[in-house]
Amino acid sequence: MTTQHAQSPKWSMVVDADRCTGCQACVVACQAENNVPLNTDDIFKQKRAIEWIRIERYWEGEYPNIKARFLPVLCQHCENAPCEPVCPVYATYHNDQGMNVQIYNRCIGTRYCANNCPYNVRFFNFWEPVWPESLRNQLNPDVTVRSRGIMEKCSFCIQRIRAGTRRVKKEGRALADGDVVPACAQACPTDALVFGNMHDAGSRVRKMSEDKRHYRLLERSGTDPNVIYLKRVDPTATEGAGHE
Amino acid sequence: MPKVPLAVKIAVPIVGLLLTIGVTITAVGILKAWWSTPFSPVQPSGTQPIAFRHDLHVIAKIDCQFCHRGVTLTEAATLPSVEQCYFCHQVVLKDSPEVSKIAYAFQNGEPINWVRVHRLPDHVQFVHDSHVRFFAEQNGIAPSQACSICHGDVGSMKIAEQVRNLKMRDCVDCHRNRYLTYLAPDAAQRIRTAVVEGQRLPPPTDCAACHY
Repeated sequence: MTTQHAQSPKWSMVVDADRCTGCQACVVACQAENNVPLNTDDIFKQKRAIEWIRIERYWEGEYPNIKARFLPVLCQHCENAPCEPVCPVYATYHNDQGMNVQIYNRCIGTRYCANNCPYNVRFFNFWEPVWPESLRNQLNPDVTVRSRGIMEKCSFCIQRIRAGTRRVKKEGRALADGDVVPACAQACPTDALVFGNMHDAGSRVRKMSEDKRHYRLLERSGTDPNVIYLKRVDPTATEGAGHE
Repeated sequence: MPKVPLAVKIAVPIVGLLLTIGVTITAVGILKAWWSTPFSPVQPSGTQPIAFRHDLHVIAKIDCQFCHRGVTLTEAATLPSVEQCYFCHQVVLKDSPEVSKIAYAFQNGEPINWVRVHRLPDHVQFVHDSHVRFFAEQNGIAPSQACSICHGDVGSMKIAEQVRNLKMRDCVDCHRNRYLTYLAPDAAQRIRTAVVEGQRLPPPTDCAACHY
């Protein structure tokens, strides 16, 4: 038993947008890890595709000096989450580890939360998910398969957080960097996604979040996200240019 | 005012009383059934492909963990493979008709399709490992002595069956306070003090502890 004060970790992610190449490896890894249903052409056209993490592409500069920029967007796990107060059944709430969690068996599918989310990272299951027979055995047994009528979103790979903390406890040591790595961060070839415990003063996320490039998405809206982005301001960029 | 016969005067309150009692008993019965019925109906014996006798294996002093090897290592307690059954039963009781089914499965490379007895809903993630180790470590007992807290005295069952309802209320009650009652008095006191002094987190009652 540890003698110091027992404290829950506070999970956070740092996204270094300067490192992101837009390769979509995180999207694929997330899809496989979290039993996210397959998105077909017509589902995309209906704008009902489910992507717990997506890459937003935008252009910086004017032709011919134009650059493609990529921004991975996932659930921001806001401290002041707009999705939480609108849920009539408390299916989404903030837990003691700083995560915005979605409880599938409580959800009744009102979709208020998705409508109130400024980041568009909550997804509704409009259909019963189906996988081709060849993919049935690749489903992750540690993650619930969401049925029709259920809202879902990035969980910070909570199954890996649980497994990681259990392993650490079994080994009788404190959580360290690398004990918990979500699927997206694990798959990222350029190390643009870094995940860790914000309460740990020596963790990588804590150090990176103090980088002077840091900002958060829609910071002015006061949602206080737990996902921190790093992006160098391009000195040659002109204000307002390049946005579609 | 018409005269009410004495018989009616006596009968009306008695019938009323009986009705009240009847309604109360029915209501209590329904509520009790809701809270105490096992989640999955207990499998009647004989539906298992092999009439496996837990009691005989326990009499033979075989530890739970000898067959359920994953119980202190992984989420699932795990069932033994056909090979593991056959390892002993190629010698032990090999002429018994039930045991010979193992030899048949082994030689033909077929699995034994055991019928699941304890099934939690898909949106519940239960971990054997941490529960078993907690009780074993705190009480200073062997891991296999902790199984009976949830699974009952399987060692005396001919065919294993579910004894606790294993509904959410059962889990949450334990995570709130009841877990202390399964600990030895000194261990319970130690844990209670550590929780009060903040050195140790109490068992989680966060929804996302099990539902994800």
